[in-house]
Amino acid sequence: MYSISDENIDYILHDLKIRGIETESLRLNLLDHICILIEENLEENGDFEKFYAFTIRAFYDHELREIEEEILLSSSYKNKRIMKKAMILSGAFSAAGFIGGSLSKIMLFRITDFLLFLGFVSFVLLFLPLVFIVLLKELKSKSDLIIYSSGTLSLMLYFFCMLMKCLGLPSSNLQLGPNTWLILWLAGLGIGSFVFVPSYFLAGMSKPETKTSTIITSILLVAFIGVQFRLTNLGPIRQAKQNTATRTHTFAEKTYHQASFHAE
Amino acid sequence: MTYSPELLKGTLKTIILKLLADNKKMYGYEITQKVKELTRDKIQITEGALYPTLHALETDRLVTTQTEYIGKRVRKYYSLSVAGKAKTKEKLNEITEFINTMIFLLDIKSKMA
Repeated sequence: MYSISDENIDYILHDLKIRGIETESLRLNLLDHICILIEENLEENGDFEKFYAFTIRAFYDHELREIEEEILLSSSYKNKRIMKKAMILSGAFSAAGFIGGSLSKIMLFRITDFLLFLGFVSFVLLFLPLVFIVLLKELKSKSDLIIYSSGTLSLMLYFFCMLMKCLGLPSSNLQLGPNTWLILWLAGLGIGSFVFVPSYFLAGMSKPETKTSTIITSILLVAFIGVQFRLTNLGPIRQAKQNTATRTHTFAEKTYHQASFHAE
Repeated sequence: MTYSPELLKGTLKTIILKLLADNKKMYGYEITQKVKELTRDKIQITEGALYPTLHALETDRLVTTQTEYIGKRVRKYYSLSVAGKAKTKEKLNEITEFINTMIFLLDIKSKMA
């Protein structure tokens, strides 16, 4: 019976790592398994390295990493399932908030704002980020990353501003500075129309099977964003521009008067 | 004759759970040897199938683990958790029903007769 030395153990651990076994518990399990096999089957003066190479070959079909990959696959599959469940639950919660809020609005209940607030908050802070994470796990290309991230960000900004508007929260109350919600709203629409829609359109058109649906969806999105932009009151921005222009004009006028006074 | 890995794949969790139910605690190599011994070499669990299954059972909290140091080596013992005990019963009922259905579906009884 062969007696495994500390050097032999280091050799096995090092080799397992090189072969792609990164999970520590798996590495230790395999180490113990291999050690027992060697101790039981190798003669006292046998060639350790040769026997080890022969033993480890029986553990896999193509590569030892297959075992590690199997473990990772089952773990990530489980995580994905949990994420999907959480996403559905938060989506259902948010929908319940919206429906409840709408019904209570019809019935003139006082709880309307609270229910809508719950619906909006769970939608923006739970549902959308979870959708993004779940989609990230199914990422196939870089263009998908641009589509998912710009779409999520655009929707988050849109719904956040919508919440502020619905609840009648003036931006100054949130201490975000004047017209902040309008800027965020326009940023949401801008990201949607200049990043999300073009990248979605280009990615969809590159696949023959999604061409028609991409054209229809893109037109609907453009129409929706256009209507939202048309409904946006740009008054505060115009007002701010006008104020700046007036201030510049007054300053110029003052300077002119001062200059003419000195000239006299 | 040994059974094909495809045939065993769906039953591996049940086999391990039942073994752990019958034996207080077991480690990886011990499980493979016990299965070999009980089935007279007809079922041979490969390392590539055993460890991912044990890992999955641990993630699902159906088994608990204990480690024992043997010099520089670590031996990991697996034993059933409370949830694992309930799951074992459920899995055994499921496989019994499955076997009965297969016997009926493939008409094995009449062929044997």
